[in-house]
Amino acid sequence: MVEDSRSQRILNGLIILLGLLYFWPGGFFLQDLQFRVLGWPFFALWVVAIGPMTAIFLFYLKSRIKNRSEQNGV
Amino acid sequence: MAFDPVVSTSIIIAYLLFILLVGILAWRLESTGSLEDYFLAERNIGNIVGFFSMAATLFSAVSLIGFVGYWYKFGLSAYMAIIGAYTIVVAALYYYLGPKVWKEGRKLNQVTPSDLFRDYFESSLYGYIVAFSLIFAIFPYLVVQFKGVQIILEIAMGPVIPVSWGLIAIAGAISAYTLLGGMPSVAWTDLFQGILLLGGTLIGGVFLVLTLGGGYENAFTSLLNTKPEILSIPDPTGVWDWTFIMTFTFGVFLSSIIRPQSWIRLHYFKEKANVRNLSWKIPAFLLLIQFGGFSAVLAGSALIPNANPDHFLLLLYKNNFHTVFLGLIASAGLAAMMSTAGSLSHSISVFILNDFVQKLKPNWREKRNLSIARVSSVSIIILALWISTYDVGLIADLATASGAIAASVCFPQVVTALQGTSWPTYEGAIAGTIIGGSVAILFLVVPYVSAPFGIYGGLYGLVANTVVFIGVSYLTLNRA
Repeated sequence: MVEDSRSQRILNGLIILLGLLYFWPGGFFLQDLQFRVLGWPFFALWVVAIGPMTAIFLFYLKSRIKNRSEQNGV
Repeated sequence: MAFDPVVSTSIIIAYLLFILLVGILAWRLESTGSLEDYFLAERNIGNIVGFFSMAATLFSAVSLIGFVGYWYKFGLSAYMAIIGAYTIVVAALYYYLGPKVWKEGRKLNQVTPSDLFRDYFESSLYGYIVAFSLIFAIFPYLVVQFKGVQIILEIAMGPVIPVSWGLIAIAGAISAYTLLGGMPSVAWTDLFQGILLLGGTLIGGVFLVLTLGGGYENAFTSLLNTKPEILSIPDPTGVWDWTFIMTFTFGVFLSSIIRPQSWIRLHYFKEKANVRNLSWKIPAFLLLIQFGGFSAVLAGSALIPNANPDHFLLLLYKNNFHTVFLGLIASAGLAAMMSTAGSLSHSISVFILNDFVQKLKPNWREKRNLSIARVSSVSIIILALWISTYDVGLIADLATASGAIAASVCFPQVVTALQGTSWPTYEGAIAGTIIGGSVAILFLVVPYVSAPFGIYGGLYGLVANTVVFIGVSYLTLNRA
């Protein structure tokens, strides 16, 4: 389906963007240990939880869309 | 807190008996006794057992002791490299290549990477080279499991039972269920070990922060006052800067799908969708475990500032909690190590049988082949057990080197074979494998040789393989 293929392209773009944000150069600029969110330094919260959880969610969406396409015989 | 070795030893023994019982029940109830069953449980494993078996196999002594030791020693730098690798690189491999491996396996009755290469390159010689290289590359990973078991027994059992007896008992338990039940027993024991591993590490880690650290906010404040360098990049040793993190991520984790224990498991799922779903389930499982591991470091690195990184987690439990908790986390650790050791010895025996014995002696009877698989499985366990009694360095160092060598041996060839690319030749594949593997060994194994420019040594092997594979393939293309 056209919508599925467009969704996959958008998700691929987001995964690449997240990769850049998680590693260099994004990770470099996020290194501020004084800025706190929920009691965590934001950099630690980003590296330990937010970045990885976002990547997992994007792959969950990709898998779901692809499995649905295959079930529908596309 | 007073440590009672009798209590922790009793918990560990009870756990071992339970796992042995599960393995025997799976053998009696699930196994058909055929060779296909020993290899792949008749390619009929369902979603839940399949996922937990894959997860328990991937997460081992390295995840529990080795990686937590890395967070303790190198801090967020190592965490970013390894968790980033799982959530992006490993996820992408399972998403894009996993379903292709599964599909080719069904279509052509393949079990190992060598089967894929025999079909694609039409070269038995290359099949033998890859099978031998992967067994060589992955064997250290089995050794580190027994090193992990040794550390747990030393810290958690104290003087009640000599460590050597404990090691032999655990190796005996793994051999028994692998030997009797093959893949069904390994998969079902993995299910229970995976659940215990997840519960033990995640709940244990959060519990440590809440009790020892006074909650996450206080624990971070305390860490920023005492050891702020473990929350920044590069790490306190200066090795893990951005270049090293990036190159380590690719150099080590591109092998995650090639490792025999993972590759074989991709074939046992009933449906392709189950394989693709591993792309988010495996990273999610690891993240939960390592959130617990990071929490333990957050809570305890100031309390135990100068421990051997591989001993840190268990010492934290031993020094601060009732022995029952130490017994439980030790059992979770043993769960991780036994499941991986069982899977590895099983996978290596499948490689020996499928890639060597059946190819060289195709007319041998199935019963004889099964006996060969079982004898090789036990022999491999005994050899790894013996080597683990020597000093092998940090667990995570050896395990990541093992992964990097596996990637250097055949990752580019796997990608081209699964994509059905037309230009590769078997001469190029052989040259790439030999040069790539040799370069990785040079930088990762040979003493006093270090990789230049702050780049992780394993990546040089991968690049060398790719360049030689492409170059020689184009030079020999017309002849092929």
